[in-house]
Amino acid sequence: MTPLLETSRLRLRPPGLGDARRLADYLNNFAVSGNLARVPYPYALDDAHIWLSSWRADAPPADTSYILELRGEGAVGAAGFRDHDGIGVLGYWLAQPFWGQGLMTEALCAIFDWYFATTEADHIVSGMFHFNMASAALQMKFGFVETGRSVCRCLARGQELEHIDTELTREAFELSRPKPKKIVNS
Amino acid sequence: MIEELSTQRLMLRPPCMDDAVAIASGLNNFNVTRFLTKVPFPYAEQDARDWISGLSEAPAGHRAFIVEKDDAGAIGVVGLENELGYWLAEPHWGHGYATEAAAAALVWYFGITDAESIGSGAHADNPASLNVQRKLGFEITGDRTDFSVSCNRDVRVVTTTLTRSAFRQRGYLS
Repeated sequence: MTPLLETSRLRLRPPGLGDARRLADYLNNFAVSGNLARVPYPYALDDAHIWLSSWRADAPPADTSYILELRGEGAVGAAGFRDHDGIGVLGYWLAQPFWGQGLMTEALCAIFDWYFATTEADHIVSGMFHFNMASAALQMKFGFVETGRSVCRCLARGQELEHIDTELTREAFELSRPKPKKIVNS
Repeated sequence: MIEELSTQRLMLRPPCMDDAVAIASGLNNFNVTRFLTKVPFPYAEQDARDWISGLSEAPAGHRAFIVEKDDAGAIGVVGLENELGYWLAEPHWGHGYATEAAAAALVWYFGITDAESIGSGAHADNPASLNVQRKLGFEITGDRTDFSVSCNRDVRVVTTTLTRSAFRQRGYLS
């Protein structure tokens, strides 16, 4: 089950074929796909069709994805999990025009709340290529820690690259979770 | 030319010699090869190497993709040589991977060709494969008799076809 998740600026919802054009436009950008393992470059409309049409409504939380829809704008990215031996592996991307506004922090916070509430998982895993400082900083905010280094293929670059492996435990997320602002009466 | 297709759970990519071990381990299983008319059984690593090296001479538009899963490596093959063909190693049956992989290859096929349809088929006693095709929008067109190498006898093959419009109606193309 992949329910709708609402945040202050975003709507996280299941992918659909209607997202193909925007996804293809935003992912056909090496500044984005060069940071991702499994997105080819160039990225064509049919690449988006292949990814979108393979989304399944009955997929478990550890194997599903959300489209990040910015209210008043449309799809601006995606985030979700791929099942790896029963563990959810987190992946995400945001279209370049929307970087630097805290949108992915907002999206991931909602996704982690949902994930830890609907599964028994005690941790999730993720990572980034060694040069991806923005992603490392983002994950650090949530309490991810480095667990090792590996080698991972980057389709867009056509190279095997050093990958920083990370992990977020349920406990670390609960401690680090960005808290909603409280209204204080004076 | 390198061409990879990424689905939610799988990656389809060109075969390489390193895949011979995984291919042989998947195909040296009569539960798999008995439904593949041209594949011998038993199936050795050398058979896989011969198949891989023969691919480079295949005509344009013919394509074989290795189906790869993050936590399992190469788990099967999807091929487009006039017809759609596919197999998955037995431990990976029953999760919808064949449908997911075949769909990706078909989106690719209808994208790079002007073809209005593509054929496929399955042994008459292979309901799982016919079910994969039904989900993708294939329709049964008839049947024929083929000689099965692994079974060493004639078998009845149900022939099917998928039109571009039926594939679109199933939600694979916009």
